[in-house]
Amino acid sequence: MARYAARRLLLLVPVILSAAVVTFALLLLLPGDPALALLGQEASEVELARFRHLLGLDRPVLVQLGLYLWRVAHADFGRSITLDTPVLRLISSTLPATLELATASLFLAVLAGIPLGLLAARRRGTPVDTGTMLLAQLGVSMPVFWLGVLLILLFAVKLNWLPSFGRGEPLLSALVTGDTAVAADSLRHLILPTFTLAFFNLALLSRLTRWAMLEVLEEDYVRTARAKGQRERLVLYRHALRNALLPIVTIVGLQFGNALGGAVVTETIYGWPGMGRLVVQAIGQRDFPVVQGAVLVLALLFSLFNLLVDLTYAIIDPRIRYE
Amino acid sequence: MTGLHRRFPALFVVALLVLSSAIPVGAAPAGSLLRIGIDVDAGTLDPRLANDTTARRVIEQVFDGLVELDPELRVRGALAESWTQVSPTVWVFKLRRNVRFHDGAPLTAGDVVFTYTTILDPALRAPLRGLYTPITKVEAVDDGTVRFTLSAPYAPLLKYADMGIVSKGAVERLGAEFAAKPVGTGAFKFVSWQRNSRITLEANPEYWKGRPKLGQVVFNIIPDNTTRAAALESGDVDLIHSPLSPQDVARLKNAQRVRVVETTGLGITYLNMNMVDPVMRDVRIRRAIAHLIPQQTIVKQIYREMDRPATSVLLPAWSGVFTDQIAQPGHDITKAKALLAEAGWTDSNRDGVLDKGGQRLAISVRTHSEDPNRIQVVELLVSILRSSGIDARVEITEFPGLLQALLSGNYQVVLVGWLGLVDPDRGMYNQFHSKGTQNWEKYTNPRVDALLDEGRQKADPAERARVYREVARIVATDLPYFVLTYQGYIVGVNRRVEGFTPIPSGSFRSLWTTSVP
Repeated sequence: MARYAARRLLLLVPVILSAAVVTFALLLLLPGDPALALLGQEASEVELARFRHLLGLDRPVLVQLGLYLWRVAHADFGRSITLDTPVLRLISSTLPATLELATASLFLAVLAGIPLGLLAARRRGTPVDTGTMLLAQLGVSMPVFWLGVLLILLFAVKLNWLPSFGRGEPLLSALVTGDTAVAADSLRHLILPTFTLAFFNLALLSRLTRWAMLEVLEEDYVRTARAKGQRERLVLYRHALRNALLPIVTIVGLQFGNALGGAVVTETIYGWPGMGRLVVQAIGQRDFPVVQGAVLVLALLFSLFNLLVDLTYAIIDPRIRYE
Repeated sequence: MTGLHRRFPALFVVALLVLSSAIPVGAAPAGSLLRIGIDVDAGTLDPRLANDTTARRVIEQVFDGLVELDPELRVRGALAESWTQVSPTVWVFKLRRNVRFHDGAPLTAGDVVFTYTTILDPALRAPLRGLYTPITKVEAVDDGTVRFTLSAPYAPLLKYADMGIVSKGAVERLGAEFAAKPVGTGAFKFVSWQRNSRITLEANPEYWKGRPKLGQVVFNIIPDNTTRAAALESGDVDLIHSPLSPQDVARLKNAQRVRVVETTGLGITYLNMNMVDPVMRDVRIRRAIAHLIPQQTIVKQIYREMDRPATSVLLPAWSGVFTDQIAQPGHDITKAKALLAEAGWTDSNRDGVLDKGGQRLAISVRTHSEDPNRIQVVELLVSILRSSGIDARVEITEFPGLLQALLSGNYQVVLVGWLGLVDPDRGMYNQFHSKGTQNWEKYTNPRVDALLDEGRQKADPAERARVYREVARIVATDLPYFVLTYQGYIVGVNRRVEGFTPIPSGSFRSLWTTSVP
């Protein structure tokens, strides 16, 4: 397993480099000029040309790409054009907020979505099943920004229970220092964005769990387990769920990417100071180094998480071995 | 095991609710704290480099200019106690004594000279450098006197002299960090800046006008218009302002704890028509388009009267210059059709689209994706053009893409806007002068050039009014621009906030006298 993990880690290098090339190419295709975005409508052609030269934007595309890859290989992500700050510093100051939100939402999706799916599968055809699946249908079809606005209007404006925007202190550090008031404030800020971001994944997971369980419950070994008089709970959790988990875990792995990407919209609605907003702003201002750096970090995180998912297969299913 | 599985989500939700109810809601601010909700983060807090609305609003609190503009956009002294125009091209400013920067250093003429010479140095890349290029020399006569020498008479200089004066010592000490740790002379001192989250300022007890009433001002960055309005409604922030969505403004007007103030701002929304495009160069086409625009309907239905229908390129805020006696072509479909026919465009092959010499009359109307109202206007306009036999199409790109199209001249009609037009010169010179830096439409009219040059040199208000009214009249006939609306400037403020006066320029100068009991 260790050798497999090491090999997969090595494979990350070409993956990341390809991500770098693709990002670079996509940004080239975008209309709009970083020099213009920074210097604004008041800038003269001479100033623009000078600034483009300063940024190296007047060099041949392949030279630009080569220089960029060379810097990436040296972990040099460059400086933001608009904010005149090292890209790595911008990423490290916004990534924790995004990770906090994405992780919390994935937790919520898993901890609520899978049990809901189980419940629906066990009570198949009852009003509980119908109700759960209706909720799930709502979750997969409701636009995130609309859900976000509705939640703010209900919980912040109408009921005044939760804050309408922003982030408290980092939850993790509040928990570590043991300051309950600060931690509670962080949680209060986290609830609405977490639910907004989680709802889609939660709905998808509950539908998937229900489907996977119903499939497995039809299998011969489940009938055998029941026939030998095992208690229904054991049948469900030891025999059925464990086998149904494989596709679910795969989807959870992909959902982490969903949560990171979807955080862009949620962060904008709730004024959450995360990396998603940094990237959107950077795209709007054609701040290429920031976009490139952020995409690389996201690609790296996503790849690492999915490596983790692949490794968990072996734990869930003893038949799977990585050599 | 099974029990936990079933109970866990419920436990989680209950725990969250318990935690949330344990905390006082919207914890009341200690002392006098004003919480502002603002749409974008600042790019920099160095006044010389500021290029966005948030930066300018924060900078106004931390820095002072030589002068400042009052709510009627009249110039009054700030760091300069007085000034004299020694000759048409020489201005001398006397500085206020005993003013100190937030780091304790005294303000001297050297700081003023440093501020303006660095702005004029192309290496700094100051976005507003173009406004100051007529300045050829800035020198300190003594510690309390600064002399500006100009290449030619330049009347608008005084209005642009509200640029924040930076501390030379602090800039040299902090280098690039100065942009994130600004040191000025203003009513509030900079405390902290969490990117994309909040900027915090505190009262400057030594402020030369006197100590501000507020203890702290926090600018919360809330990008979504609806969330910002909801935050004001729920009491999470005390003050928000344009840009706001028309639907949210309507809701805020009914919210008990909120007062909504609507004024006409310093911005216009207009159609920029490319004067060198083979189709658009014909003034009859431009006039026909103007006749097809249902200006009143757009203002009522799309802007819900948050913006006002414009009559010309003159802004109502330019008192003494503005007049509603100048008019652009009004909504008149018959006239539009007649003009199109007069220009030779007829439907000769009866396919429903006008043509001339085998060419179809095709017009693309562009705008940017960031403003949903502008997208609606363009879509409406295109459907109207289509029903008048023009093969019109909508093109929406992000703002940088649109800006590039404007600069390269690769467009026919663009719906876009101008903000912060404090002076007629700012609203017309670069836009309509054949040598203007923002004359993207490539408009050339020797008479307009002469008038705009004359306006720069005239200090007499009556003379300026005559000059700029004549330019506006010519523009309303030639139609390089069709000005659609005067943008509204709207402020929503919690009723418990006292002493805040909205200023159409969007300036927050009155925070100095604002208090929250």
